[in-house]
Amino acid sequence: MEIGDEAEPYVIEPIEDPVPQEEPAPDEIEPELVPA
Amino acid sequence: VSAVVPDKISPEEGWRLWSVGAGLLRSLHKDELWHPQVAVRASCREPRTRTLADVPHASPAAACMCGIYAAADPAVALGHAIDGPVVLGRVALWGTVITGTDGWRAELAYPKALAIVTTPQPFASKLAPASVVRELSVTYRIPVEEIELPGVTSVHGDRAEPLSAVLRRVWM
Repeated sequence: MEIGDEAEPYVIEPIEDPVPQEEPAPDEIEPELVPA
Repeated sequence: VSAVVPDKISPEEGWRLWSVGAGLLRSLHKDELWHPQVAVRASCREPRTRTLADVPHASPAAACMCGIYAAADPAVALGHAIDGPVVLGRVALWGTVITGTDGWRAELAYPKALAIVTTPQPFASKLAPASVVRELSVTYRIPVEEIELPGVTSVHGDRAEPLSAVLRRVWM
């Protein structure tokens, strides 16, 4: 693959991790976050 | 803590193709698997430039052609298929990034979404079955998007043509 004429390199540091994280198991969820 | 002040805080999003191997996405032009929940990091194994030949360097380097590639246009990505079946998807790109007129080269990447492309034969046989795409989306914890081929137009350089024409030219 080619990307054509290029500009100068730059740096991206995402605020949110672009890699999906493992969801916590039900027993790892804090009780107050579980709806009654 | 990084000593580099970032230029942006949201990833670029491009399009690319993968093949499928061992139930995982595999780079088309390298024998390299993309593992779930792990960012892919670029490395330069075969410098294709005189100035950086035999010189270890971070990837992507402006003076080299290394890096993780993605196209700005899905049709351009599809046009680079060398064999089927392939999976089309959007990919997040970050770290050091180099923008070109048709896409990006990046240091870090992870699939953002996978596409199920609705297309008539003979192109459909070049694409991985929808069931495989859905299984991969679960593996990588990313969504599936449905794309209708006839509605997509490729703009490559100053040329615009329907995606079906691009695929006919490249794949037939």
